[in-house]
Amino acid sequence: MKPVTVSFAITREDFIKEAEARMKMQLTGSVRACIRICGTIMLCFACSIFVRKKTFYADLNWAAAAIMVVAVFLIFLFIPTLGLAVRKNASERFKAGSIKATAKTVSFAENAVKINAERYKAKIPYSMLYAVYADEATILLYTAVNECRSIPKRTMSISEQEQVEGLLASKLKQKFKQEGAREWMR
Amino acid sequence: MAKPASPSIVVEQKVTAEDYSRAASAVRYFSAPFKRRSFRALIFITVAAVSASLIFSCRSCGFGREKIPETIAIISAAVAAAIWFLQPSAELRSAKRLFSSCALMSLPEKVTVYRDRVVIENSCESITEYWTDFFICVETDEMIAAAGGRERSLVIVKKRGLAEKQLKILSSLFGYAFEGRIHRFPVRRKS
Repeated sequence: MKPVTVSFAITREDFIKEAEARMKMQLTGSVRACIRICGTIMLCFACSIFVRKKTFYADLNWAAAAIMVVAVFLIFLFIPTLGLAVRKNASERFKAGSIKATAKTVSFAENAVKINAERYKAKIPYSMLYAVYADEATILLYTAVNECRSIPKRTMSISEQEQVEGLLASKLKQKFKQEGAREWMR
Repeated sequence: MAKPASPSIVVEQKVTAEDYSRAASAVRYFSAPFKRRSFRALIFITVAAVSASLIFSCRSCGFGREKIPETIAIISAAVAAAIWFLQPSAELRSAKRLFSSCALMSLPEKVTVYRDRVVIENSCESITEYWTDFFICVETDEMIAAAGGRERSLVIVKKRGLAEKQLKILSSLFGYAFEGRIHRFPVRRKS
């Protein structure tokens, strides 16, 4: 197999998409479900206060309304709001120059991924990666829970993207997570 | 005349989960004083003490609601005890989980320490980190740990196997690089 090699420098757009991808990776299906279940329970509790208010204190109406607002926020708005906050934060960090991203060359070979940057040179066998996450814009290579390197998909052609994703899926099995495919892969 | 080469120390080591968790806890102790168990437990003990003092005033005033401060005092004392006894093991577990997630960190490595940077090399990677990116450094009897790197967040240099002269040079290199940001744990002093 011919290795897929890309060279790039992280732009502001790339950095925002990377932050978004990291958020999606951390917010797994079970976490999203937990947030929505909490919201639903709170909504049911608030409705029960309104319906059976004679058994409670009458002045709990305001508390029930507040609980309902929080519940609706958790069910419908929490994840979009978090996404907005993450994008804004990433944009500000990039503008402030705190990222210091340097140019990188990444090569996906048959048995290992090679990374060549100013301060980091590596040839990491796929079995040593902690996880890989891919969404429509970015591929994140996790070498540890808190260490990841991003590759923007804009640097690859469609056929290269398919080749890389196929390679990662065959080498990493369950450690390769793709947005949209996560639920049925488990 | 050619300038003399800047001093450097080469350490060959293999970091274990225990080393990593010890280094992480030492760094956390100095970088986040408000997260220390003593500080957190003290807050809850204060709440418990204030609540306990209110029990008597509630009784003497005849409010008949002394159950509320009693409950708060008991819960706060229980939380303080839980923090004191459970936090160290929770932190240890968290550090070990982080270490076990990174297969690259457990490989035997060669660490070269310079005045301005460190180079970490193992069979898979070569990392160059500059000390200006790090925010804290902690020296203990067993190791020197620095936190805040761009590629590797926690760099550990073990002292085991180094000669006395090398240890002095290593300590002075870190002292020069970090100046006010270096903390020392003077646990044992050799007499």
